[in-house]
Amino acid sequence: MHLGRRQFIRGAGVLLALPRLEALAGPKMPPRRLVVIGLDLGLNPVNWFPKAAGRDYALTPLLQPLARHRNDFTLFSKLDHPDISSGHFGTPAFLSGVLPSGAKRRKDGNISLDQRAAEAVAGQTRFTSIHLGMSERSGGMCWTRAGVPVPTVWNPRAVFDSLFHDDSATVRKARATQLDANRSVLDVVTQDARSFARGLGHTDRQKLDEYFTSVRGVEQRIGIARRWLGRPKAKAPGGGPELSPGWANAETIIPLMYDLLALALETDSTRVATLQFENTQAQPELPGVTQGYHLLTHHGQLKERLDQLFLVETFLTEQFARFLDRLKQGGLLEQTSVLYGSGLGNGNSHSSRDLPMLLAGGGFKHGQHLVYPKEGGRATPLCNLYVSVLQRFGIPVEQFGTSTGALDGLA
Amino acid sequence: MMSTLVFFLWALTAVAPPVQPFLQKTCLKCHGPDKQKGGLRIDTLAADFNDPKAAELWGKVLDQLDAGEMPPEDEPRPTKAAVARTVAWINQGLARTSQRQVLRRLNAAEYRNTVRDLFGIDTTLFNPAESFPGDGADHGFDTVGQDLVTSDFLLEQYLAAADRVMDKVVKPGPAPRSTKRVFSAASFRDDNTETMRTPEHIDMVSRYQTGRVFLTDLTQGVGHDGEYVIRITAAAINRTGHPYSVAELDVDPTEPARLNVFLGTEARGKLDRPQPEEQLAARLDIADGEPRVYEIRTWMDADATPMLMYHNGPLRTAKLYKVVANHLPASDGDKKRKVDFRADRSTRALYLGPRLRVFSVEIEGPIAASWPPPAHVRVFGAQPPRKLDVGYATEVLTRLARRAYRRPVTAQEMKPIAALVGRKLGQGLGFHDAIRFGLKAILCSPKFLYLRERGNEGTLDQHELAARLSYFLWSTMPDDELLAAADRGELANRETLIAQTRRMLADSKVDGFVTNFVGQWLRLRRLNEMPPDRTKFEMYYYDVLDQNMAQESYLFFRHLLEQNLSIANFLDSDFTFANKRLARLYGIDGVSGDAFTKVALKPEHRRGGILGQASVLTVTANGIETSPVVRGVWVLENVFGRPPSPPPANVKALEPDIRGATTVRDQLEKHRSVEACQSCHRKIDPYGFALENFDPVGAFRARYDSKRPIEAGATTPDGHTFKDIVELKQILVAQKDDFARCLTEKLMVYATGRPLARGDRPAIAELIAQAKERGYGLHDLVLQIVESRAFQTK
Repeated sequence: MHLGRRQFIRGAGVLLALPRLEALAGPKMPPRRLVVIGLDLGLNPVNWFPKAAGRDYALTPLLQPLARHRNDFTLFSKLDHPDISSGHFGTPAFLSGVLPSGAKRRKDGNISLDQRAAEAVAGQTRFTSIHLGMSERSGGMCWTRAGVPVPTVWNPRAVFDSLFHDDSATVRKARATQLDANRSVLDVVTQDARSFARGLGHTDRQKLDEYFTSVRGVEQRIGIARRWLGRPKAKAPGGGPELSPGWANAETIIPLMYDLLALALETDSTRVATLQFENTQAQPELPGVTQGYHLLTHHGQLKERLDQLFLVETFLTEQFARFLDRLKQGGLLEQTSVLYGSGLGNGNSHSSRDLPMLLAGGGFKHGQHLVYPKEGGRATPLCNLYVSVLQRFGIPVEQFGTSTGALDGLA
Repeated sequence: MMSTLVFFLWALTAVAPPVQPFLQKTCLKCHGPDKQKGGLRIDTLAADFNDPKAAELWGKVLDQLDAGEMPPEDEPRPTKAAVARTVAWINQGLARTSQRQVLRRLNAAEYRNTVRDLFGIDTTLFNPAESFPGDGADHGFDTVGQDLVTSDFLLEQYLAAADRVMDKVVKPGPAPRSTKRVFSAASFRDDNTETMRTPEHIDMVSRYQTGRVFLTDLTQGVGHDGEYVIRITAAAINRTGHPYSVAELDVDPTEPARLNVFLGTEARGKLDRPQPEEQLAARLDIADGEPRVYEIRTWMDADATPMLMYHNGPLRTAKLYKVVANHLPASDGDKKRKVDFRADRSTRALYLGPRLRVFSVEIEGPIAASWPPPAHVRVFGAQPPRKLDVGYATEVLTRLARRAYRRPVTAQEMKPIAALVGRKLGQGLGFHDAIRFGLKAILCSPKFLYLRERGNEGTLDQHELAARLSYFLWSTMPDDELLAAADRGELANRETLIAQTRRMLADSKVDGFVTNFVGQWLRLRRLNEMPPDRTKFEMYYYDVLDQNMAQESYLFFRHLLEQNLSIANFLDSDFTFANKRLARLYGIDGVSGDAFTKVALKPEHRRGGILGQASVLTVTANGIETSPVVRGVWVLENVFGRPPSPPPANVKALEPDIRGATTVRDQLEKHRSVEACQSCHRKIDPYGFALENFDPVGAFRARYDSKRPIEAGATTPDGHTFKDIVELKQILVAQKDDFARCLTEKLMVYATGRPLARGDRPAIAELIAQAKERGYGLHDLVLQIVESRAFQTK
């Protein structure tokens, strides 16, 4: 077969690009990873926060499951988002400190911590980031720079397949054709957009910039997708799990979701991952739990509800501890900053003050309970912690969301 | 000392207002460097009214001064003249502001409707916008240009949606062969707690959510879009003559057994339960006794599959087997204990009550009459030329673009798209594969996705006005008649514009306006965001109350619109719309059937107006308990149009305690004794208290779960005392001018696609004055908005 000169250069370009791409990821510095576990409904503060600060705090009931990891994590008290005044906005602002409605006035919008990190490593792994939830009601925790919520996946089978199942050659070919078709359509609509812009006033042109930016974004994503399409996916042990998703299978699904997260990291399919335990009226299928999760958080001090809420939150924390076990055994914990927390401070009162938050791994010095006294009625922004986490991720940021700097006391 | 500090800070702001001394003396103690009550700081607020954020805050200051709310009563009063000077200064600044519409794209609902009308495809079940990210609606409505963002994620979805639409539109070649497929009981879903299957048939026993029957061999759908005939062989068994009471089963023995035939898709979730979007293709009355064949004819999308449900069946079997046990003779003690349909299937035979029995389902189609599909014909014409070349492609694309872009198009601007198709033809692609590139480009072009409103010298041109009108009244593109009127320049003529508006309001597409406006104004779109607790409010699920509640509110609005009734009816009315199920929630007797009818209300029903509608009462609760604060804020926002400031960050939130020693009202009284809370809560809480008589799904209650009685009386912030919701509504009706302003402002934002600025106030005041003169009819109000200058300018 005769190869035209143009085709040859193109082919060589791809070959040349490969080692460079790998060099970017770099064998010298181990890759940095970030995982966020978000609990929409919070953690009952009475059972979560220890009284004493420092290294010698007594473990509270909800921290008991994490006892063996005591020196692998740091616990924070009195951190929150200064601009967020109602619990209803807890989840949308959890990872950004900014409400979606206030995003447009800010340079970086309401981009969430995970997306800020993901931007910096786009293309280095097959998935720039992955986002798991428990049901179709999940979402709204992670936001792109443009102020768009990042969709979640909650079916473990679908997660497994997209991570590890190689599509057939036919499917891949069809996908490649589709990506190329999209590219050619984008070329034309860009011309169309230019002629459209001509008749517009200044403000409208500025608004239309969103469209041009989007075209560039999609072109970039097509490039990444096209590049990964030709490479086989990572291999995972065993087959895909056959389980119905949802809270009704909480006892088996939750450990499974954590396993999928761990697998995604272990196979370097992604460097950024989130798992959201979303607000749900569903009753988590756990021993002793007979009422809906949301109802339990509105316990109104009823003993029965408080007891059941404790069962749910204990289970969630136990499974988180199991996840840490696995990362630690696989040697990944040191490279992976793992956050476990909520944008809701107290479900019963719908407060968004004093958010529960824990940071494990990531190569930080751990073992402490850090308490941030409020100065002049203002709490230390939780975003300061995010600045520290982003810096550890390898992004030299000075500022993120509503931060006033990096977090004091964390090294 | 204090004042020097303050003065120093003033000097730092770029523009110091001339009324500085007044503000310094009157406001800065609480809204200055030391305190920022309500989050407001005035000393750093620029006197630059062109800055929208500053203008908005100055507007707030103005409102407070105007209403005499600030400074608070316990602070020294400024002189009237000083207040007037400041008010005049702010007013002057604000009068110059008026926000222009910012280039806006279609929202998801508009995209779906527009694709429907552009191609004439059925979008009852098919939603090309299904995976679009949520639209921003910071100003209450998703029609506001500045809040509608385009992102790379959305653009990817546009590309994918265009492909899905093309799959439905571009259908060359012979018709798919019509087939007749018969599904016997063997291919029905396996039995579960709510169904009982034998080799011959399946019995649906309850109307519980997970009791739907679907066809396990057809979960991927029928395979081709088109008209289908569905024949169902079914019979009602034991509908009467069983030993159980009406109350035990919660069924109506006077109704025939009803079979719902839903269409759904596996992609949207499990087929044995309700889907987030589904289509009720038919509701059949099934005769008792011998099986009969019931035939329906319906459009089905390629991925659609039927789901059957016993619409008016009994409660779930977990309840039924207790009923069964109770009816066993006492001598059967042992057996009685063991009745459990799940644990011991043989005990299901002991159930003697109603069942809906289905023997087989036959599906025939797609019927050849629907080929080629109307959408294909619309795009390619009934008789395409023999030579399918780039010239013909250009003709097809230009014809479509003219409607897609809602205006005439030039040959010049079609060139790049036609060239793309030409290249693809040149690369050897078949005609229909090649033209898909062009059609896709049109659907992803900003000319289609954005509403161009250049507004030269302020006024919209004819086509821009036609589009604004149709997206306001129909949530979709202009039809041919409206476009033709725009082509002829007739919309500049007042009579024609009014006649077109009347025509459009009488068209069934006005549903788009009703659902999108009301769905956002009353927040009905968010009805299931925090759905009621499943055990506490089980009837909400048995009786599909979410849909029935929303239906009432939509019908109510639509009725006022059609009949041009006074908007005061939104505050209180002597009628509403209900079906049997909703009437049961309301405790209104004499309403039968599933269809909604107009129902006369008496004061003792405590319904009437939006504050009596279960939809509003449910969406303002969290599915578990009610909060007078949340509902009070809702009233301020949606009845008065004056949302309160968010709570200060440093106040401890209320920690609900429902053990019974106190009520939420006791707690709020205490909360209000905190000075920082009082100023807002005295405005919020009274309205919420009045609604405490309605539980989280809007049913009336005299007491809380803790048995503590409910006190619904209070005093409004302007000093009117009421004892319950009935009296409060009388007060609200007397103040209907406030509500008229609120509703008009909301309609204006929705219609123009831009937030209102203070500069709009005189025009709105004028509009309301006219509406009042004409009796506040809703139809009139909409006409007036269309006639207003704000609507016809950018």
